[in-house]
Amino acid sequence: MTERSADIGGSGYTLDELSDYLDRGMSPAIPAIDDNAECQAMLATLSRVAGLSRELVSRDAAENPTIDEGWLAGLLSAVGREVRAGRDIPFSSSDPTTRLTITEGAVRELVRAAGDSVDGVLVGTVAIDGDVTQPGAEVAVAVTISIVPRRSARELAEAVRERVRSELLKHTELAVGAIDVTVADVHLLPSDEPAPGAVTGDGTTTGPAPRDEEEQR
Amino acid sequence: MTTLGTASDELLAGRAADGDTAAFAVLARRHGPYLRAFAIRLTGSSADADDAVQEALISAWRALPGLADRSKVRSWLLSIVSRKATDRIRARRPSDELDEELPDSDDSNSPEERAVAQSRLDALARVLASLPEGQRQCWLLKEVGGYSYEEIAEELGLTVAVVRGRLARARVTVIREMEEWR
Amino acid sequence: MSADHDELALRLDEVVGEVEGVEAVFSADPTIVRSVRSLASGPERIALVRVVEDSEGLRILASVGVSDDRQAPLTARRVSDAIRAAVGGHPIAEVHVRVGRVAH
Repeated sequence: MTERSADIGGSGYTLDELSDYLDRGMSPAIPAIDDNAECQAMLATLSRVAGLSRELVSRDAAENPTIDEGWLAGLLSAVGREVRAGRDIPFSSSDPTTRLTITEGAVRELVRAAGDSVDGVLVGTVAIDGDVTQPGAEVAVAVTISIVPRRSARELAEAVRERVRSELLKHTELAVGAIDVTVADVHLLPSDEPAPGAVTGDGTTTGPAPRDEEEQR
Repeated sequence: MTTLGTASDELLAGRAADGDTAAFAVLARRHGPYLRAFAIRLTGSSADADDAVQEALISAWRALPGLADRSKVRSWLLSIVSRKATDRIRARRPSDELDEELPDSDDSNSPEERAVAQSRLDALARVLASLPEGQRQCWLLKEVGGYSYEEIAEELGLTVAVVRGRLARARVTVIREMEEWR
Repeated sequence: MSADHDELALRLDEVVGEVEGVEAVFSADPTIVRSVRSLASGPERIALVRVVEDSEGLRILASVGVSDDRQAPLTARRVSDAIRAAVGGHPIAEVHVRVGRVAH
């Protein structure tokens, strides 16, 4: 069985070799292919059917945009059982047989909630650096945030810093040193236009479509 | 809709890596339909697809803290779904019947009734559905999943030569059948 | 864990749950340990608080979610006091109260 096609347009390259060339990003350039009209047409076809394949899956998804709630609930309950507790962070105790701790996961959640409570801020990641298991050791907190546009990044970051510090003071005995807040992202309020690449309630993607999204024609 | 719904994939993945299940739920809702559509095309069964996507997302939750580039969370999720879906395909006995639930076009409509773009996708859907299962899987893993020949071979437990052969045959068929849909 | 300790642990679940500022009592054992234990002990209710005993006495671990309204360290201390009061005269090697969540 010889389904391997003969060379295309007298270029000396087969269909499969053209496909490999396309996969390599057509680099390094092969003049025998680049200068051959039939090869160019075939490359265009190959890249078109590849794009259509991705479009097909995007269209399937757009036609069935709803998530089965029972399925999702099952997933989230499985995920919820796998808590990321992290390290045990001690509270002081005068009695040597009493050990009081808060988990690193709980502290992260605390920091996240404190930052989210600032209007126009969503917290991304929270890192607690330092030997938190050692009472009194100074720790640094690093938070990345996303903010809504048209608000002062400096003011929002400062507000986050204050709330995080006061929550940590209230619920932990950590010696909190620097609280480093980095604005890493921008998001819109739900009432605003959806952010580029964000997804609306019906699951369709809005804004400039990524390369592999369905093209509107 | 909470504000989290407008957050970027990268932010949500970071929160989920830190243990925020609400952020993970937003990611699952956002990308679930695409992952499921891919898995249905790959396995030919919506039941297998649902299971594969759920397993994939549970694995993803565990692996998220180690994910290096969080902005690429969707293609990362797609690769895990590919793996779980191909696990299911490999576990099937040859005698297992497929549901053949591949979403197909409605042939009763004449081409004139449809937008050209729709027809073109329908034509591709028909061609892919007509391919032998092994060829279709290789094609989808490569063109939609973005996998290399070596990765597909590993996923499906085949040699690279077999994958290359299947893709060569699939390519000839797809190009021939799609000729009129330029 | 002996039957005695099971009973004590179940009682501590209630005691801990009633402490002011406690919003939830979580399983002290990881999910997998818990499911093995539930297989071993059948349909009986499995306690959330862990109670074991060694030569030095009882070792008790309670994992809780606490309210944001009160300071977490104070709530944790109240939980450990409540556990000690409930155990009575039995020697205690360690009471560990772990705050796994601050509700907001």
